[in-house]
Amino acid sequence: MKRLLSVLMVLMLTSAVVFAGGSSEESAASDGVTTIRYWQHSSAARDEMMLKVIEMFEAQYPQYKVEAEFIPEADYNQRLIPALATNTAPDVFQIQQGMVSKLAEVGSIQPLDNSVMSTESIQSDYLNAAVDGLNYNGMYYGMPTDTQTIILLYNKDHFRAAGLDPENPPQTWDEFFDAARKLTIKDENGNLVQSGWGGKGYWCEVAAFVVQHGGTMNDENGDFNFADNPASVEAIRQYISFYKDGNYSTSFTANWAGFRQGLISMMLGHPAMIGNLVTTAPNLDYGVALIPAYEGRHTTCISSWAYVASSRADSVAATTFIQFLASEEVERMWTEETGQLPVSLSLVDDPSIASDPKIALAIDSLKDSFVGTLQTGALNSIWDDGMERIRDTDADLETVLHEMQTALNEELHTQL
Amino acid sequence: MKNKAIKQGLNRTRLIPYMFVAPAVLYIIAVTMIPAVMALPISFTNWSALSPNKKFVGFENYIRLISDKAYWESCLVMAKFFFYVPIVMATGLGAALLLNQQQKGTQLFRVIFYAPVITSTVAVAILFDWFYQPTFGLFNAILKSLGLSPIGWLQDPATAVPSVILFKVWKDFGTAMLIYLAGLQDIGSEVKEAAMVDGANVWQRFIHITFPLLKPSHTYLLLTNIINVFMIFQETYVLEGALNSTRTVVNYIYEQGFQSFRMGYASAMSFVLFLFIIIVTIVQQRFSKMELA
Repeated sequence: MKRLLSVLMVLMLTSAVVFAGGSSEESAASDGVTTIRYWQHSSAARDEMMLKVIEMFEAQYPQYKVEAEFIPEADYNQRLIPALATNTAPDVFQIQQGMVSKLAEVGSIQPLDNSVMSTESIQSDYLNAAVDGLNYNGMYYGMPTDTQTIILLYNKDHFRAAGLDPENPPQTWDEFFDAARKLTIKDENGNLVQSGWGGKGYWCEVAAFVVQHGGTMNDENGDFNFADNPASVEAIRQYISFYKDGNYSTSFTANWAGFRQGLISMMLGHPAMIGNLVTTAPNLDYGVALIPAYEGRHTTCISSWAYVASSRADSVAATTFIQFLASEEVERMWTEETGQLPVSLSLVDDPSIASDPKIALAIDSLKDSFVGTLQTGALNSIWDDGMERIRDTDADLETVLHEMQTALNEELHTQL
Repeated sequence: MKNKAIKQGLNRTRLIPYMFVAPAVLYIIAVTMIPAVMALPISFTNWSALSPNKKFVGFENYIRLISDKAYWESCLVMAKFFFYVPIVMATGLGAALLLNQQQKGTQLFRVIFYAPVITSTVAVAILFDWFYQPTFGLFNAILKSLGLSPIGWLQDPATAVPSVILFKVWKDFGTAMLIYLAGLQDIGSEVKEAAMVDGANVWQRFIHITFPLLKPSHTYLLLTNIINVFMIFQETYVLEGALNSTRTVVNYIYEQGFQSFRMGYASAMSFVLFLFIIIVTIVQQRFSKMELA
């Protein structure tokens, strides 16, 4: 026993020495050139594009050199968190928008350098709904990237088969639910053969539906309050009724896979799916439309990632790089080549930016939008688990919503 | 002079085995033992892992753990996975008995049965996720073609854990088969021949000779598979059952550490799990020694 304890003590001391000695690499500056280390989650199209952008940045700012690392999305958090924990995070990196306030709170990231990007210029030049979530204690800690709204994607062949006009997609929620029911097909035993809509409670969809119907998801302090707001509860009940009535089931098929395979007729989703479907379902004849409206408003929900600078980065260098990444010139490239939505006000109103009418519609969706508040993995898990209980069990809707709200607020207020 | 040289030679000879195992031991110390032990001091902090800052919180994380309903639910899920242990051992033993013969084709079947062990868990789990799809999945198509009712598999909380166990057994029984094959080949033919001369039939020979003589294999497989159950993660991460029905303790630790950024709390849970594994291992070893004595 004594020997075991001695071994454990030695291991603990050794580990303390090893972990206490974590490296503290700084942005290297040699020969007047400052190196900026940059990480982003990887996808073939994004990586190629980012390399082009870095080349342009280095040509414009010869005093900076960017060392980029592209990490598969599944491994991104597992790489980034240990780097933050040991103060070895890259100078600039991407993070889910909801993480910005958490990282700012613990001091792992720094505000954008005011001498490079002023608070006023950000507020006047960018869509407020896209940058609001990046403001912590009155200072902006990053700029948005991979900005998404919710739009409607629908299968034109299914519309034709059901006698609906494929060039006139549903404009209102009544039309939408009516079409979804007409597009749902069951066999003689009542089993689903085709589902009109694959909605299963994705946060941004529900939030847009609730806000349009006069409900709220959060109060003025940012706390979740949907369970205490009768309009929100009623809207969620209405949203989920399509699913509860057996018009779609997750055991029928996964929703996006089903849309690609022609088993689901309509999906509410991110405009990024437009680029995705080009390769994953090249033969699918589909159209896009704004999210259906209630009382004439197609209000939609924005989610995004953000470029942020670690607390140990050279403030001016990191902000200069982030400013370049968020510049009109680069946003235009992203939109034209990948379909990512711009957030510069000048581009949102610029009709020349998108020749593809689907992309143009997606950009149009930004004009009536609000920032989504559920933008961390933990918050999403709580929401998804709760929606699963609402969908797939007989649990009382209001009880589950209250439990979800309590868990979300507890998570939101976790002291890090 | 000669004696000294012999002594030096002997000393060197004694060192050689240690040199062979040293790289593996150092690796295990660096990547397993030190992080495991590090979990203890971290478990007394509120560390978020989003920065190097930590605050000492005493036993707060351990107290929280006692009243955490989700933690105990995940323990219950993990407990259900212990059914995997006898199933994988029985399947491995069955395969080993079938393939412990000098017949044409046995080598090929050994390779086929062992192949799942060396495939990537995540890759084949994704494949099984498709097979388990209730409407269009392969398994329900087979059931339907046999005139049987389809099963909800992962979508049904009642069948989710058995579905993952089925996958794990398919993936792992090759290892049990290999260990049992080695064990079977260690059993001298004279013992079986003597039993045959005494008139023992196949079943009697298996029950009274083969099975008891495979005890070292049983012990090894029992221990490693129990530890394996404590550490189930990848399978349940990919093959996620409805309503958290396959969320094990390790999945919950991962969620708390890497999604909710409560690394201090996750470390407390990890340390409790570590203690459980140590206790189970010690108890099992004691039992094995007692039985051998």
